[in-house]
Amino acid sequence: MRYFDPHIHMLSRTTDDYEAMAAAGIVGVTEPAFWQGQPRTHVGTFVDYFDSLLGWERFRASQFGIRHTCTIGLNPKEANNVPLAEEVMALLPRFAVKEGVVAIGEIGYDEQSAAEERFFAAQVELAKELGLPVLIHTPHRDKKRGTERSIALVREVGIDEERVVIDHLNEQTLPLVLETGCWRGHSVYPHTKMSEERMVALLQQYGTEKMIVNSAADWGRSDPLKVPKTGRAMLAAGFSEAQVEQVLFFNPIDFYAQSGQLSRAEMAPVPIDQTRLWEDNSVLRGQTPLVQ
Amino acid sequence: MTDPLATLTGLLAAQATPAALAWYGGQRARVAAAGAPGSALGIPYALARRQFGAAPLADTDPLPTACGPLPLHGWTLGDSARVALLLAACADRPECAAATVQAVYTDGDDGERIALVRALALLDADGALLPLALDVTRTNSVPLFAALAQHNPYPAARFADHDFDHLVLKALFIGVALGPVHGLRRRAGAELARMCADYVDERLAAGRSVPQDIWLALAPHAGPHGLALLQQYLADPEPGHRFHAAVACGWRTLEAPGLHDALARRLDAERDPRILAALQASLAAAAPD
Repeated sequence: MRYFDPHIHMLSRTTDDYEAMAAAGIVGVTEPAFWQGQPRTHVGTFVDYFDSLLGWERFRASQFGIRHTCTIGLNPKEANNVPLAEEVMALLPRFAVKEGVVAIGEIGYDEQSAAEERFFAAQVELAKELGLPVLIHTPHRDKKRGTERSIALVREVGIDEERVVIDHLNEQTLPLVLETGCWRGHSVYPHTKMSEERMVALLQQYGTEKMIVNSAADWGRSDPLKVPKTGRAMLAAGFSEAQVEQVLFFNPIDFYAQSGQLSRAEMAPVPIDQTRLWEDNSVLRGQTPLVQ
Repeated sequence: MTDPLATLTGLLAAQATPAALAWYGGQRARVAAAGAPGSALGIPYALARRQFGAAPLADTDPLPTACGPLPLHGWTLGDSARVALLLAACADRPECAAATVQAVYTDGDDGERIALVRALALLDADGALLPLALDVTRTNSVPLFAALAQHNPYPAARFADHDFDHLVLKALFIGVALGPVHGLRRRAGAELARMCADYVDERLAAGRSVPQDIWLALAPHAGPHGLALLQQYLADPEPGHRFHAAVACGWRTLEAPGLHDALARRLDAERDPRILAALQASLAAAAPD
């Protein structure tokens, strides 16, 4: 069984996670650009972060046979530092057009401030201009209103809803997105957000079309194996292997394939060659290199 | 209005060691005399904590400020010395005060920021520090967030409705108790009530617990659905829910069909003395149906 995790912050995860993910059947990931736990204060920090998503992290994933793609964007929290946000917006386009960038994201609202709205709209416009899909983060607080406003903004900018995924949905907010052409993202966490059981219930109730599941694993208490675990829960609930593969492998790939940077054909496992280095750095610390 | 710098200096003099006071005297003069405001402040501000330590300030009256009384709840000697040095650096130079405070905040670690944020009502005469306060609301550090949200008159005095509502909602999310949020009863409006009712629904749909003090934010302006939730939780098995729901009923001045009767019914059934007292107080305050 093959899996794709379309929302996972691998920069905060260890090689143990990569090993476990590969063993569990995850062959590809999308790592969205986001904040790092405390606010960045200089545009250079964004530049180095974006570069690591494109460089070191892609290399690190490849050392475990995992194809790593990313999204580029200015996240909602850091949009509130307006002078810094303006600097970041000026250099976003040059990063957005790099190879392996499958969307603008993750963008959206955090506390629904005017500044967040300004930069949210500007990035949806940018995505429309560049022909890139969009990954929208719905806020943790006042989520229902935040989702309504996100949908309204997408419609106002006029981007094709097929190219938009609205993520971190739950029982209240999924029905709102079902009335649009947008894709439906869900993040499965150990203690907060969505669980495997609730995810299965939503799939049973609403079907599998455009449904996307991810772990959103980050530096906090989260589990990079939630996608395969959701797969097992689906099988236990009576879904077929074909349906599991549809939701947890083909759906995210098909969504991000709209960027032209990913395709089903390309998603064969990356042959591992651990003799390779990245700027003279290896992921090995004295182990024997694995070469497939 | 009494001079807060003089008051704080007096409090320190009553409790601190002679060595610390001597150090403070010297630093206070240096920062006040510094050519560029705030230029001499950064290092003594940080070091004040080591000089004065983490012992709590003795119980004292709240300080009067433009935002209302500021209780010195949780202030340590080190915190007080830091705030005093900050006041000394800005004294006689109000035009540079905001920039000086901003610089200390930007370069500060959590502890340094907490001392400053607690004292915002003292440091901000005209709202110039509002952007800084709003930045604090976005922090991931719970103690720093709590320094703004609790025992602090600044948000209720200065925040627009949207920002105050989101402060309260975030407190609920990260487990910062609402009881000590100054001005909550006065500022809780219909939008906050709606957000809280939505949040209760979200938690119930997820099979998760509901924060037991959410009623304080929800009750004053709850609509029919919020009122129904409030009445339901008046009788919840959790004493925390029953207590806060009982208190919150007394905060409501708007019409609330059925609420008076619900309170009366609880009065008959309740056994916990603390909750009984809250029910009685709220019944006395509540309008009859």
